Amino acid sequence: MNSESQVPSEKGQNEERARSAQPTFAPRADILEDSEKVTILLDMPGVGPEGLEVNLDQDTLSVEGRMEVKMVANLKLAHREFGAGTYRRTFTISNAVDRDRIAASIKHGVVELTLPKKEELKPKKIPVR
Amino acid sequence: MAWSYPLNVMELMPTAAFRELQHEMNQWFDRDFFTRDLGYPPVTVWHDADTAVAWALLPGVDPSKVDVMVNGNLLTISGQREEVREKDGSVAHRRERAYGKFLRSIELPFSIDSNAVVAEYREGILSLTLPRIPEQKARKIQIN
Repeated sequence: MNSESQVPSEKGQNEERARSAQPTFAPRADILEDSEKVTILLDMPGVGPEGLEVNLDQDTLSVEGRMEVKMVANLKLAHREFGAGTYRRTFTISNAVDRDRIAASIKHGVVELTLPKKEELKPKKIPVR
Repeated sequence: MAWSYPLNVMELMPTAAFRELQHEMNQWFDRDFFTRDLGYPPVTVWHDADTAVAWALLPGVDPSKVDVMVNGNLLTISGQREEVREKDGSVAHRRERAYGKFLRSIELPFSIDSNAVVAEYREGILSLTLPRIPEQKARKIQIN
């Protein structure tokens, strides 16, 4: 480690601190597979398209979303079962997935990841000659 | 892990195409910290002297299938979340998301004017603005 990397900017430090103070939550997922693709559905209420991040690093597909629960001005908390937090979940994908065609969308707080299978690995009917 | 594909590809695909990292199991323990399982949907309520605001986590529901009822100081949220069914020939590897009917009642700090409730559904969160019933508002009494 050199001295330069030990001196992160003030802003970066504050952001890191603010981030780590929030709980991280593993969103519930459904994983469905058919002959064409694998579909992953994740419940991430409070996350919009701008707060969603999907990254693929080698075999690791990570989904992260920030849930903003803004205090309504001048109101005090009466009953709390959830608060602001970060959703994060990672998956390992196999070589059967066509990495270039992975798609992500979010609607009504549900993330849908579509992982198409590589053409050559899809089951197909072999014509009998 | 390296994958190899034997001749019998069709048989291998359903289980081999997908695998999750082991360490995600650890994240499961955070779940109850973030949304304690006190009922579905989870609700957070704020208020001041005149208004209560309730938020319910309801991802992926059709807002037209959610009923919000207010009776005095009791707020009831009920409805249904449709299951995403697998098509013929597809396999469900995981089913963690809840679906079906739900009903949740929450006591609010004061009685609500049911005609003035405003409900909004955005990004999977139902947000309710619940004004206090006018004649029950606390007011300062003038001493003559």
